[in-house]
Amino acid sequence: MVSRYAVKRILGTIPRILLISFILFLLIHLPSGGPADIYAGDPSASPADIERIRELWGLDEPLLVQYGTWLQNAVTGNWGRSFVERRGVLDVVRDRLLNTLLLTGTALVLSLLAGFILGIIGALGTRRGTYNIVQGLAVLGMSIPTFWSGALVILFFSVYLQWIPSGGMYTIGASFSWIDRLSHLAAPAVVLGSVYVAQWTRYVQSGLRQVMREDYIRTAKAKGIGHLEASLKHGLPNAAIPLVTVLGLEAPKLISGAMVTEVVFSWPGLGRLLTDSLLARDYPVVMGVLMVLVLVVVLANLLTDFAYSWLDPRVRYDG
Amino acid sequence: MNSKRPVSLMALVVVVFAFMGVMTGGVQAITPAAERAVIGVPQEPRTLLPHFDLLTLSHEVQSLVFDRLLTLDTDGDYLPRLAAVVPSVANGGISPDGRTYTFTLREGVEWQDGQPFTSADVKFTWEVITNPDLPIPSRSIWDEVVSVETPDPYTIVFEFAEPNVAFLAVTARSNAFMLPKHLLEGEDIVNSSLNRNPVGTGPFTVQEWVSGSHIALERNPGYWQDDKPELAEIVVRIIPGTEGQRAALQRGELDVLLDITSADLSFVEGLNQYQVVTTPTYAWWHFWLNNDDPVLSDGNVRRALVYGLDKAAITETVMQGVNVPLDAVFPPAHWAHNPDVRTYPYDPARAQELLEESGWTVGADGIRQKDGTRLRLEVLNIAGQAERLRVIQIAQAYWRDLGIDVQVREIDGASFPPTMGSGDFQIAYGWFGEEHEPVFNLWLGTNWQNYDNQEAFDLLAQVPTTVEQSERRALIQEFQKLAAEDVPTLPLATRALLSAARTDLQGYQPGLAGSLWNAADWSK
Repeated sequence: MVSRYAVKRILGTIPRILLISFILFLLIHLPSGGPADIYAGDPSASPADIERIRELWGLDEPLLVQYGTWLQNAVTGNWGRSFVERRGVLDVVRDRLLNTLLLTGTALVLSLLAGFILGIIGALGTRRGTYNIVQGLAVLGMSIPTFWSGALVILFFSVYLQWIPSGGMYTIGASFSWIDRLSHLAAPAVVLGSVYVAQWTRYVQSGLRQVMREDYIRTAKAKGIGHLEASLKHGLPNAAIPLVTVLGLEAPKLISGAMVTEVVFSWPGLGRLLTDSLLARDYPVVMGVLMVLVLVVVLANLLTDFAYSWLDPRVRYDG
Repeated sequence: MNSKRPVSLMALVVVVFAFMGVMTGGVQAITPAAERAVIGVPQEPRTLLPHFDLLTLSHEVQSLVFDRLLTLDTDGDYLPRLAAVVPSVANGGISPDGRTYTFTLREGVEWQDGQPFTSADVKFTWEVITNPDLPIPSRSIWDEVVSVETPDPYTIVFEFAEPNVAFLAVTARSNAFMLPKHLLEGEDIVNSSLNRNPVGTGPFTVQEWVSGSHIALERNPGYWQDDKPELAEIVVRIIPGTEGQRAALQRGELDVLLDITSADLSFVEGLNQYQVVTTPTYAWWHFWLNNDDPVLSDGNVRRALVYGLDKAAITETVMQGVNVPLDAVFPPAHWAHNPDVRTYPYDPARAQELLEESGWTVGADGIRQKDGTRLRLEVLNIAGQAERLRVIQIAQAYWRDLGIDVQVREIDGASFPPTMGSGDFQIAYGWFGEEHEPVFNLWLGTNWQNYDNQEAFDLLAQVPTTVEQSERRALIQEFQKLAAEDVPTLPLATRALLSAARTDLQGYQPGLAGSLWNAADWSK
């Protein structure tokens, strides 16, 4: 029974999530300085006032006690309040989460699309030139860091050609328009996705090349199916299985990796929230964002497992 | 297979961008550009509820929504805001003994929800600031007030146990905004919705705050200054990356860009529609020297560090002439600055002599040593800003020429204060900003440099109760003379703020009260 397996797998993630949350909590408290310390050094803030605020916020308690309080609240759905924004962590995170999902989701779809097209061309191309160009593009995309490619895209398309805006999610103060949204989304999504095109291309290409040598493809061809149809209809689904594994591992990275792209394109996402919160020692928000990332990782792993059985009928977990 | 396919894929991306360019050419803000100012900021304000935060950018945006009793103009003179006049001994607002301050409030001022602003709001604000159960970081001077009386709705009297000269300056502090009693009394103030949707008496009201993106404000039609503000809308746009900031300027999307660095100078100067605006401040750059450190407790070593450093080489290269070399521990923009203290002109030979005098002799590796200990000093720095690191690297080279092995240790901003407070440093680079009426937190508060000179501190201790300003100036100037002899910290340069402003924006005058303090007067 697949469903019993699923329940087992889902329950199995709970102790893992707890352990990770504990380690993360300890890690983010490792660097010296707390949320009250950002006030120190201001001519009007006395050291005594900073100490008083530390006590008010319960930061003078032992770390284990603080973690216990956090955990107790977290399981009841209370993720605490931001020291910085003075509102609930869930509100703070929710404001940014969808923006990041929109950016990374678009980047993922674009990069997969490009990866598949390039991978198929690379695998089926009989000319040496095709293979080299595809390889070259793939390596190029992987090698260029997003802060640099992002800067180039802004310089060329936004400043020089004036085609796209300098950043943000939409034109502030203008009425809603899909095309305006898209023009803001396109550049950061392409830049963020470009890093992954290389990877997807390589997997599709090598997977397809390997699969095309399999007996069943030869059989299919012998039955009279053309080369192209055999590759796309029978080869591609099988070549995609290793890609799904990688996808499950890489998709969460896409979210944390969006940090740089979010800064370059002023995209109001989760990555920027995480860096800002870390620098301000806004522990509740840092924990909130990190736990969202943890959940995404766990979820992605689960989905990968389940996707196997869907893509490959031979894989069954009801043993 | 056609080998041109990958190329055509790239072409497709270009075509899509071009299509968007054509289509979005017409997407514009609804408010006409002539009635709208867009202000670019590198960081998001933390909260718009005054007093709970010390980030300058929070105060800047708060100043659009709230008012103070008094403010400082660009020359450092007081201007009445919610107070009708600036209290003085002459007009009876300050008692001759300097213990009682009486403010007469402006009549007819309304909160943005239409309720009248009265002395009860002022008293309530003081109660909030001094409430020990609220996490308010800057209470100094406010907490020395012993009683507050409100004889009528437009009069408020603050009383101190001892003469207090700093109170006017405190009411003009960058965050000394008045809070609405009718919205906050009895409420959970810390978590109030006013953090994101503030209600003040100021020229603009918050329309929306989109997290990480922008804060949009529109004209407060009931503002107490007739026919102000001139602009209908102000948008504060958060642009964290340098590329985005520069592109926004090049595309003319911004009217003002706050907090640019000296590295942006030539770039902004090269843009036709923009100018660089330089604002002097009460802050200065310096090297904290840990006077408790075994090496740096020797005055000769500290003085050698000053003699061996060509300050002008730093201000003219890295700082691009924006800041000027400083000898005193008060910057020239401040009224108490002493231009006549002992100076240490660049003199490496003298520096070498002082080190020799203290027994530090050059070893085989070119580094000085004494009793088998190499002369090694570590400079603590806050990571992340190119200009800071370049300044330290130049100092490192100059001090290396004296035979000192100088290393750099970088930490992040929040770790800096506790590290300094624990004394775990030798030299640290940073800036310190003094107040209009100094409270000497650098010396009598944190004293991270562990300066120990009772005679000097006694001078400072007299300042708060010395009513006559000229006498206060004399005390602080005497202190600067002593500090220049002792070199407890190494003053490097003044610290001016830089911003880029559109040339057709009228009235932009960043000053001691912030960059947006007079936004009601801006026009295009």
